[in-house]
Amino acid sequence: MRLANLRASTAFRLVVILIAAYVTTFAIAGAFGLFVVADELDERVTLNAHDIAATLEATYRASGLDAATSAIRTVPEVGDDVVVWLADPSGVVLAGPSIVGLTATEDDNVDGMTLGLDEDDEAYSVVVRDLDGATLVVAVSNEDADEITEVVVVSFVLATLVALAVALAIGSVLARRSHHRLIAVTDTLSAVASGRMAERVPTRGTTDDLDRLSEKVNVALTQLESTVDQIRQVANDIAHDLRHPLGRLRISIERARSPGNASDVEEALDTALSQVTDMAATFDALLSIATLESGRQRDRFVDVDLNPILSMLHETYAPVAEDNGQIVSAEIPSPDAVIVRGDARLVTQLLANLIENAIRHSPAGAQLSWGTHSNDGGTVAVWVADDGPGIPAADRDKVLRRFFRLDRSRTTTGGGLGLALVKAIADLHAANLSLDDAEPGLRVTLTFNGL
Amino acid sequence: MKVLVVEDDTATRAYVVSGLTGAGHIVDGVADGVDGLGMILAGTYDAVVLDRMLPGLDGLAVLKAIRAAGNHTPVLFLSAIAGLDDRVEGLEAGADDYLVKPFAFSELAARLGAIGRRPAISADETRLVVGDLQMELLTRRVSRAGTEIQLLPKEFDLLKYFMRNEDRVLSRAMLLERVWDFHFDPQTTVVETHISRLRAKIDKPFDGPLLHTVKNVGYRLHAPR
Repeated sequence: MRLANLRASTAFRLVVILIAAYVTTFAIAGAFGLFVVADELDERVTLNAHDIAATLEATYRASGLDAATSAIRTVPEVGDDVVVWLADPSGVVLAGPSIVGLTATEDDNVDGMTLGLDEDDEAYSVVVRDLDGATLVVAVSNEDADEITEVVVVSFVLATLVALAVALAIGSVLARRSHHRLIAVTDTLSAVASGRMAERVPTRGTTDDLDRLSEKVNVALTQLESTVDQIRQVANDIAHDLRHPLGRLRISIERARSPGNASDVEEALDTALSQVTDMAATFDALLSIATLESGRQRDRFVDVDLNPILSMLHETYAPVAEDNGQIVSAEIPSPDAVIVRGDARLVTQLLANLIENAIRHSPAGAQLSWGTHSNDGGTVAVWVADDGPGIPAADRDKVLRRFFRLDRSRTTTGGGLGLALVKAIADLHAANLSLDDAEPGLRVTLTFNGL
Repeated sequence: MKVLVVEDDTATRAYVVSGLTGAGHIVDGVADGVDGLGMILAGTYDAVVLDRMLPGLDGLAVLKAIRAAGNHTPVLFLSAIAGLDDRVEGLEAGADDYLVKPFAFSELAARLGAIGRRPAISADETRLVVGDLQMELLTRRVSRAGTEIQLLPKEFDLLKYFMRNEDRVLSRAMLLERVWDFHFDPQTTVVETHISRLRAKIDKPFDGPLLHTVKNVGYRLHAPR
């Protein structure tokens, strides 16, 4: 991942913002802490000087100037970080370095040179006591305090740098990781856009936001793939299935214009016209299926009674079947209304289609039947059955697809769209369409959710 | 009949105009919706063939405009859109009939013939008569030459439609739409079967057939003169 890409990653930007906030807060807290610590240390140094002075003064008060002079040697770190200077009332120095130009005033911040210490620029806290004319000066170096402060500052800065480095390292690893996962999403989308429809975003099975995003993307991609497959399938079907009628149309036209066939011309043209009509019907059916699949017609749904529809269809188709030498045994519809929500014309078309299939695919002498019944549980069913050749179990799902035709029905008319249209109308009504073995023959049952 | 054809496709317009002229109508053709609207409102046409997709003003807008202007000239709507919704939309906008492209000219001619102006059938009409065939609408009794004929409900509806359109050619698709409310093309001989059953009842036992087949188009109920 190049730096530019890294900088563009949301995770990395968040990490940088977090680190900046962290360092700023750390610096403010540190500076405040340092101030408190330094102040406290100065205080302690001053107190220390006062303590030493008080002890020596107490010794003087108890045992006199000589005892105090001897006690100076017992003061810890005397001559090192602590300077004690004692002069008798006549100005004779009893202890301590010879201080030139000492101004015997108390101060927190007097440098060593002022105290007469060579090459000593450390700061001292100075306490001055007047012991009945004798002068006691106690100076305690601030060096320790300054060193501690310095150590604190240095370790604080070092700690900050280490924390910064660690945070940056972890941040960029995390940023890279989430960036990689997002890259996986964009790569997948690019792959899908370039036609590799089966590509999916890898998921890690966790419930984090990126996984949830990936899963949603995958669900959308699966739907997209099935839609595209469907469209591709329809396009293939159209291309494939219309080539045959186009081929036959071409033959009819060529036959009509071939010389010496004058008597055939009219017949060939009639054939061509009916072929054009069939092709237009195929287009209409495809368009109808597409419209049905869009679900728009659901807006017009009303209560529809299935029994009058079936009675009308019985009156319409029983004579057709009888002319075919088939026997129709319709169950007398119950006088009760069998109401479903739907579009009466579409339900009529669906049932007419099923009845016509039974008539067309059954031989003379076949028994046909149809009827409605209400099931326990509130669903209502309408069924059409025949004792014709039926459909092999393996093909029962396939016949509902566009353009699928059983081998034996290749020669019969109908674009292979009839049952696909039936399925589309059933789906529009959320009705279950089942094809079963009528032993022998086919029984098609359409089950609606009743009202 | 005086017919206006509003259709932007030159080949289709020329074909329809020449076909209708050949069938004895007086025909004007126009390609644009705005011109079409003006001609319908200004003229005295007996019927209009109106394409749905038009430059300027589309067919649906033209139709709504002439109906809004109180003009009731019969309109046959032409469309390349076959969906049931589009058909309903066309009829609701005031079309008298709807025909989807591609169509057979004979189908167009039959539908135009059925919607063209004719003496209005009075609302309280109770009896239809064609030759010696009579139909009582209220009692649903049918008789020919004084002999009563028993008809099943669909046969009655079929005959009623024929009797109301005496001498007119009614196509198979028109019968399916008006008598059965079927807006699809059946794959079985529904129409042929019922025509044959109807003939067996109203023609076969009597002298002189009334119900005639018009080859490649449909049927016509016609009393011998």
